[in-house]
Amino acid sequence: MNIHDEEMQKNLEGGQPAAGDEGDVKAYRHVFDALRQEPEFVLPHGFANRVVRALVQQQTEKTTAREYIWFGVGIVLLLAAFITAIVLTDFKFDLGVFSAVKSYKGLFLFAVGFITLLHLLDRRLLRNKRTAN
Amino acid sequence: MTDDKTLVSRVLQGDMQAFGLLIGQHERLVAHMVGRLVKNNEEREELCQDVFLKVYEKLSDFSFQSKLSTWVATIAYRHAINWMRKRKIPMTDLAEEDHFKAAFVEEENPESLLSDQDMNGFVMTLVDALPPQYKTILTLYHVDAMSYDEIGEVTGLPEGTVKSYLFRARNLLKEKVKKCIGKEALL
Repeated sequence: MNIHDEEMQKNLEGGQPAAGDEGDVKAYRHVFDALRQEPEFVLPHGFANRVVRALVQQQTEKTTAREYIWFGVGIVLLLAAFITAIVLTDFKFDLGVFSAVKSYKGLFLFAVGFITLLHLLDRRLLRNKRTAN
Repeated sequence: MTDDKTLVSRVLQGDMQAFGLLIGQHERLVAHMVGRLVKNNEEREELCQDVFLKVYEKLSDFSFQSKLSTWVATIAYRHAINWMRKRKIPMTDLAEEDHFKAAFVEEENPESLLSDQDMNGFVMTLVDALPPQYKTILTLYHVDAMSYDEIGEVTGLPEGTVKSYLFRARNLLKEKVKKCIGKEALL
């Protein structure tokens, strides 16, 4: 680019008359006029609200992820503490009073089955009736 | 208008309304920058949103060494350029500028374009064909009225280079427009 062009640009930018080749001056005027135009692309109305909503969602997701990580770490630490305690105290697992249940296996299984059956009946018959009413 | 310091401190305290205000104050600037570098409207919007999410993420690093708008523009520029690199969108190497200039001015296409659009639209089509650095400098200088110093901060270029690129970009456009006007006159 030559000094002549630089001078011409400065003059046109400053709103002063530019001397020189008429074709150059005319072309520069077109260029300067167009460059001052606001670009066509505009963001939609409510764009700021949309970004804020996206940010809040992003933060919630991050918090949830962090909570899951801490939950996992907590479980791992609890298991580690449990295992350490068993190893250090040489603890032997004993059913204690529940060892008596061993002799009544059939009765125990019947009780579990009966309670399950009652729950199923409650769900199928009583709750359906209540919903229908 | 809330001043930069008050606005930033409110946003850092978690005030989402203040962040909405910050977006409102700078969305025009970000739209200009992203809009000039990216063609697709949906991608433009998505990129603008990402820019503001990044602004929020990095706001605690903002040290008031510059205007907030300059800092936001810097993030927008880098984000758009990185996006273009990731998508492998060709960017003209300014080291081969002489070659680019010759190709840009000599390329045959303008008559039909000029007949379809007004002169402003035609010049903007030419701007779209310029290297991203030129497009950004032209937009920040002419539309957003930034100083050479501020543009240098946004683009990471020395002030002298910004001046030189601005003059060269306008010169390239002038050469092309002059060529077209000449052809129009002959027709």
